[in-house]
Amino acid sequence: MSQFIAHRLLLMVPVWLFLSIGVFSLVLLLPGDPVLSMLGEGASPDQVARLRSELGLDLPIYQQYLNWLARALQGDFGTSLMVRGKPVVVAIAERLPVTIELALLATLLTYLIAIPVGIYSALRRGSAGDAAVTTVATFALALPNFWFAILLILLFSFTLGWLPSSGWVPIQQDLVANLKRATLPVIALGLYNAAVVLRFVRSSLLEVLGEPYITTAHAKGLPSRLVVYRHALRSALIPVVTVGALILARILSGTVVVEVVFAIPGAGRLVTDAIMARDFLLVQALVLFFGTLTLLINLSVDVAYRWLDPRIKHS
Amino acid sequence: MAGSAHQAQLRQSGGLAEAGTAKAHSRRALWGGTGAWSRFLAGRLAGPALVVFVLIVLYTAVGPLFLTQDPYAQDLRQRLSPPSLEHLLGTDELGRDYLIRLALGGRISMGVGVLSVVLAMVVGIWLGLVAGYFGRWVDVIAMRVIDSILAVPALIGMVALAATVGAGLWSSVIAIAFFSMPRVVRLVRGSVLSVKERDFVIAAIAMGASHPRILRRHILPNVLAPIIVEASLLSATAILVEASLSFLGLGVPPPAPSWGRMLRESYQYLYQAPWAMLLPGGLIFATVLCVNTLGDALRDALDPRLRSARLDTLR
Repeated sequence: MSQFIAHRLLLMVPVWLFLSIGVFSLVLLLPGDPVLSMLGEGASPDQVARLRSELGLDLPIYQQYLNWLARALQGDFGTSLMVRGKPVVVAIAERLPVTIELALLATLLTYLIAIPVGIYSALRRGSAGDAAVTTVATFALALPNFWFAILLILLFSFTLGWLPSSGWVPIQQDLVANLKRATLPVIALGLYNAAVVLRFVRSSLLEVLGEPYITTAHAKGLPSRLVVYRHALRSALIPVVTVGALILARILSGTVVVEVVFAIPGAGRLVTDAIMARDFLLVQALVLFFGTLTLLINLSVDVAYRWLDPRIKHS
Repeated sequence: MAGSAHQAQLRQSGGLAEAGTAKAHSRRALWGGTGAWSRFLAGRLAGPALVVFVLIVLYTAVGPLFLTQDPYAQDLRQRLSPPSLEHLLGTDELGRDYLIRLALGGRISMGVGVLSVVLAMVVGIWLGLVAGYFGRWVDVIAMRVIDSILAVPALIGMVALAATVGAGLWSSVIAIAFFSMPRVVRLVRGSVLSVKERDFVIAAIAMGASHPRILRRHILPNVLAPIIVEASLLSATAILVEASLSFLGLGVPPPAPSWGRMLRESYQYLYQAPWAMLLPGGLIFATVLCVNTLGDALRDALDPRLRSARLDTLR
């Protein structure tokens, strides 16, 4: 197992390097000369040349990349315009707990809905209940999540007045107030993904139920309940666990919009804030951070998959 | 990983028919002969979805030719007015007519969706063909680059890229295309891997056909069916993503309308005029629902064996 993990980590290195090259290249796409825009119109050619060499912008591109990479690996992404006087890494770390809480709760909600409903739908295939579930899932897949979030605000805050429409209270400060503010964003993030996972659970279980060993289990007289929950579900849920990585990545994407709608100061909101402030060093750091996070999530799911599915060990 | 299961399935069904020349079975496999139309309409939803979709397209494409209102004329005495005879769908926060702005907004939303998918297809098909056909180090490098793009949560990457290039129609198209392209590359590569081992390809190589000829005449026609299905499903996603980008203030700059931007504008006046955000959101929802349904029907029509758990919706 440890050999497997080491192997996967090694495979991650080239992918991460390509990711870092892409993220570094982002600033090269910026229109205009950064030195000129920093110094303003009236700068003398001498001043411009001095700042250019101070920033290392007179070096060849690959040299600039290597310098940037060396600093980035030490957590130094330069001085951000928006969070002045604070290292970029600290700025991200401050916003992170909020987003992590939202993402974990949303993932939990996704699976809490998707697994039981997906099982129900598969076992009652073709029934009115199954048709209803499938239809609702199809509708949910077409729903823009920020629009859905606004509809939730209209219903639960504006009309019914049950839940606050925006803002945030840290979890350590007041748990109840925190959960009240997390409820609507989590529903907005989770419901769409529940539809995705639900379809997946349904088809995965249907596929397994068609396998010969299930027929055998039925034939030897095992009660249906046992066949489904002992024999079928075990193998049907393995792929469902592995899509977790993709779901988490989707939810992280979703936080960008949902945190804007609900005015929640999380890391997703930081992405749009940084863009509005045209703070591209912070944008770079955020993209690299979220990319690295996704790679690590993928890695852990691969490890979990191997641990859960004995068939892989022998192949 | 989850994607590989999907690819394995595609690989099994990659070649659509064993016998005949590539050209002959590409025609048979794609559309016609074997009751493709009846399979397309077999899903009960395909017919209604087609009707609604055509109506939406007609409204946005032809509607503005018959509407006399000026989409940019402001009338501050009629801000956020409800539907009336003069303004059939009411007005926005600057008193501009909603009916015509929704139609023009649809052109941009759907236009960006279609353009970005075309761009993603052109680049993705080419890359996938080359990676799958030549294999070895070309494949290894291409796949690591694709993995590194997939590592970035899509919306975060698109927001960063679109903002760096500078908000506008083409920057949205490029950003959406760039982060949709990996799916196309993987799909094409997977199909190519299986098709290139087929007898007719080996025969073509033996007869001394050039690489470009083999790719164009023998391999491309045989991987087309899954690509066409993927294109339709990707455009649904692209319309959703364009809306998100516009909602965040990227995308087409004002005063031009797009459905996402109209949502952004009406969201500021959520409490004064809650109805204003229902129409743009509803149109996005209806369009995406129709395109998704048509994509599913297209898959059933072109190649019933491609039925899958819709893993592709995960990205």
